[in-house]
Amino acid sequence: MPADIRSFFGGGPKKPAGDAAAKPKEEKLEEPAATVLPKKAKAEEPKPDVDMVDLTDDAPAPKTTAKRKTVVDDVREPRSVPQTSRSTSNVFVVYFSPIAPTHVMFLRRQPSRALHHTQDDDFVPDKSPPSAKKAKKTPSKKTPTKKTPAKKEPVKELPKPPGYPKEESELKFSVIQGDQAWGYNDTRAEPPNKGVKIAPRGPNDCLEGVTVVVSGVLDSLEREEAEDYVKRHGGKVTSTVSGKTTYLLVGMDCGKSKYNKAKQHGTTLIDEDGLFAMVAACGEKPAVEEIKPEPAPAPAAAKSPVPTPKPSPKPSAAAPTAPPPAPVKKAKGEDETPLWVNKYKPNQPAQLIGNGAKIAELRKFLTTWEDVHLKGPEVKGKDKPMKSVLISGAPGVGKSSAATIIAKQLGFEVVEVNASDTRGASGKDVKEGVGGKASNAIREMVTNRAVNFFTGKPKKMCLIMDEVDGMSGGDRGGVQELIACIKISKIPIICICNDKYNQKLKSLQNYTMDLPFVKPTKVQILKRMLKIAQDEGITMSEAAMEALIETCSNDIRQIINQLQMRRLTKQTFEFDDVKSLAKKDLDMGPFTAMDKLTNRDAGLLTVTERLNLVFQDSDLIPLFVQENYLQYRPFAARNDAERLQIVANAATCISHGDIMNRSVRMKQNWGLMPYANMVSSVMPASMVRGGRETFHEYERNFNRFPGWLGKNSSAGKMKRLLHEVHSHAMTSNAFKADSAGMRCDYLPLIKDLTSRPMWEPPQGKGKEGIEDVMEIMNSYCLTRQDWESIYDLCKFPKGVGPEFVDVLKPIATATKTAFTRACNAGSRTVHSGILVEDFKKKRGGKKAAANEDDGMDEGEDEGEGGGSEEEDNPFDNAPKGPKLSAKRLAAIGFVAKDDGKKKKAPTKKKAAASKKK
Amino acid sequence: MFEARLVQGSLLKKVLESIKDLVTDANFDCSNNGFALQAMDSSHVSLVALLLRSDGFEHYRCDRNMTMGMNLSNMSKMLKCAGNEDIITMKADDTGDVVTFMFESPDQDKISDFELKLMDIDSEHLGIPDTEYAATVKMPSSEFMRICRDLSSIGDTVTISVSKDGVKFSTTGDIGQANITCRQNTSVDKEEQTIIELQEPVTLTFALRYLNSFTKATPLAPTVQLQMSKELPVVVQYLIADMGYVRYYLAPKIEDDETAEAA
Repeated sequence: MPADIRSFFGGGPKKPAGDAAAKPKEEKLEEPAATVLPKKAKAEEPKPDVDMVDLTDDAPAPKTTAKRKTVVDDVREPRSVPQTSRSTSNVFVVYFSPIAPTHVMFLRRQPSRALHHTQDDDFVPDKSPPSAKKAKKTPSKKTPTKKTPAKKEPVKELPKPPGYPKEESELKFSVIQGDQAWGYNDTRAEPPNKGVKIAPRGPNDCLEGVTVVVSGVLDSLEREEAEDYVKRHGGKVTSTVSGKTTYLLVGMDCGKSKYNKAKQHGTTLIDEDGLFAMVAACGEKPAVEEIKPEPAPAPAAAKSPVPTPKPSPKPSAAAPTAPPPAPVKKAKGEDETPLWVNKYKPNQPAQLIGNGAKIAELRKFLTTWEDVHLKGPEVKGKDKPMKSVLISGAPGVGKSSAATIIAKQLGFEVVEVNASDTRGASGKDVKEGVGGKASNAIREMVTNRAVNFFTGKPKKMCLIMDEVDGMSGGDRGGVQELIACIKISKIPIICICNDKYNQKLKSLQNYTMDLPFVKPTKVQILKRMLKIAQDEGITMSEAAMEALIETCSNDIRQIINQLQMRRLTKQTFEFDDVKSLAKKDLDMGPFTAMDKLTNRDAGLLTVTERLNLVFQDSDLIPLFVQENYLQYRPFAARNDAERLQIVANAATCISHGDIMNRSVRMKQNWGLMPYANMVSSVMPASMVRGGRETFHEYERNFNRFPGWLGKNSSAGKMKRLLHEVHSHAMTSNAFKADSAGMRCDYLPLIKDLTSRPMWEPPQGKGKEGIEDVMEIMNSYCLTRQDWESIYDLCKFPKGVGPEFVDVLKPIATATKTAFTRACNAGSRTVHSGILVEDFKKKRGGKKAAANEDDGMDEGEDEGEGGGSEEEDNPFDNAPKGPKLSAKRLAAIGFVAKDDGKKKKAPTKKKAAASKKK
Repeated sequence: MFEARLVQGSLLKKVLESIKDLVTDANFDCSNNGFALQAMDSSHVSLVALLLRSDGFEHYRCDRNMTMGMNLSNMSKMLKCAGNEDIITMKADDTGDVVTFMFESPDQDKISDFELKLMDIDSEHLGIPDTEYAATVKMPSSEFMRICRDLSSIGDTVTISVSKDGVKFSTTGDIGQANITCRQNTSVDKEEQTIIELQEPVTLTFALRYLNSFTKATPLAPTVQLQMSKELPVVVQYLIADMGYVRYYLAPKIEDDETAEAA
């Protein structure tokens, strides 16, 4: 019985198996197959259409004890053309599963084998000629040469890949249907068997030289997990298929373009199980040798280069006060290991990583500073060139280094002041001298020369204010001091901060030129870091270094520190170790946090991590969730009905969460905060987690900023308007309802009654209608402003129906103006409303208002009769302060006592008008 | 091994008072010559140079040239614990990282022992050439201090112009301006004299704040010597009797019309 897999792939005695009739094609049959798959106990994922056949094999490998039987064979013949017989027969494909190495699984080919897209999930694509595929196989053969000596297992003469690859037809994958494009409408489903399979762990280089592209939803790994898996074993992951791609790792719903490109380049297709098999075939991961944690002075090898470079990289006289505030003097002869961040500190502009353009700008600023500011003509206005520059950016990207290096290179005498110095306001009293305060010294320095110019030309000075956003409580008036210095300065000032949008720096930005530094890219950092690692004796793969760069958020300082920390105990830095490093705590805005909470990778986050995301901005995130939760198509929903149910559950959670939040804020129950956040944000987000979709055309598929905030303030405004209208209407005594009653019952009618008469004929009466309108308004004591408010209050967004009619549109402008004039000239009753308000506001007492109100009523009743004298009484008692000056009264239409006649006239007119009716 | 014994302990105290405001950390260089210090202040605007010659000490021993980096405010804190009449002894080992101050009261009944931790300070040593200055003014130190203080209430920069007649200090401020002229006088009392040696008239502007800090050394000496030259820092020197000197160098202000020089 042949022990070798080759028998399965043609070339060996054939044995019938099951009811296999036709022969599925098999590419790469001629591949010298792996002899043995190590026995690994794995969780089984039963496929419904797979029959398990136990087979034993008398493999030569000592590791495996099971014997393998050669089973199906005629199944293994290479085929290049789809067989028509396949349509009816069941075809079995045999392959080894790393899950149960003693079993060979038969994968029944799906009946549909149409070339074109079918409705079934399993799209079986056309088979390309096996020869082409085989030819393409050879490039990957280069990988075997890269085998490292670490794999010492005697059996391993596996070329990579271990003869595994199966035909496309056997792979469980499909290409996405129709025009459905992924784009950023990410509706990727979850892997159906997530967490079920145990992925084999091979040595770190078993996939070295292998480039993989992932497409589709894999069987048990999330996309990210699969990429990590490849990287862990030394492989590379790219996002597009090219000639360099070794494999296309496929799952369900692969991308069309990737698939086509793979066809075009002849890239091998493998699925998840195939990947596992390959890695498994490479053997176990050898244990990593640990270096004994060496005491600090011990690394003698590292020590010898240490003393010499130490003096030079030390920040040389950049700031006598700032850098070594108080390092304790070491005993002579004992040398502490210096920090690598100092050892590898850049001192040439060429050593600076990234931000080339910004550094050139900085250089230009410094070189032309004197010409512009000291020698040049004085420019005023908004084109005025700035005397100082503000460098901002993430920590560890090289801002301070760049500033110091460039300034020194240009011959400036650099004085650096940072957060360690007290930079508060300078002493006002010059008599006290410098007094040891840095701020005093700085204040003088900006208009002074440097002292060290005994020979030659006087040296230019440059001030670097590092960490300006770090001016804390001890630096009272620090930013003001800095601004004052900039105003009088005769030397260039470079300010450095992390966050230029910080509140403290708002005023500073008016005096500085903005120079934001961006994070260096992975590629830029990678080379330098690898070199450092190499010099210091750490072995790291590129993938691990890239992962480290990512974990540290492109912060060069942190990367170097991590390397040094690692070097203390180990000499290698594995990919997995990098992944297990705690990620830097970043301040992320609510948008980022919301994205992280709801994107497809959120499934990988633990509950605690999600809760922490919410805490990033616990005021806004619940609102974000409420705003956006409807847009998601939940993974957990299989149809619309389930989706609705999930959405309903999520909505319930949100409302419960709202109750809890209320309790937290109003009753100061801060202990409830984590629960409130959990219920209001984490639970709904987890329920609806899925792909985001849009409902309207032109809608952007990004998480929206909560609209509730805007709507809330609009609601406040409307309430206020309503209250005003209501309080005016109350004074008329013709109306007795609360504001809700007013809005619901009265206002719709009032709205119509006060607008339709003014419409142009034939619908309305045009200018003649003003009187009718005025009658209504007077009877409810509504002002012109109220008239406008009523329309704002009754406005509904677009719709069809009587409520949606825009009643103001048909009114002609001339009519409106006449109406306004009529309002202003209008009757006393209207203005009584205002006066009451004014009284309330200015006198501050309801009592006074009530008095006047009574007076109004009396006056009003009598006003009908024309008794103007009584009318005056309430107003006689009114305070004769400036608020009720004659001028003001005239402005609102109320004329003084002497012109009582005039007053009567409108009243009479009104009476006449009412009589007319 | 470094050891120095100074009978007039108050001198060391005063010396330190005069420099601790300007410089926070400095390196003391001990050699056979004496005990010296040269340091720039944090803004690189002024420089302090101090020398206490070995022959001024009662006992001075310095086997090798040593550099001791000290935080001056800490050193001053320790020296404040010494009485004005005390005898101060400084001791340091070649390999040690501390310097010991011993204060002995004049009648030998109180002895205090203080150890100060030393620091590693990187500082560049400036070579100060001996140049001929265009103008040299010697005047009583108290008067100089008075002048500086008075002008500080008006403005914050002083323009010193030396001519044949005398030296004029002027300042301008918000409230107005002020000029003080000191004419050459040779009075009987040597210490009250104002002597001007002039090669060519010089006018320079300086920050009063720094000059006020310099005048903290007034207790050290009765006269102060100002040396000025165009394009060079002014040297304010206080000679310590029989022992050495304290010299302050101050760079002039950037003039508005000095555009040609600014390059």
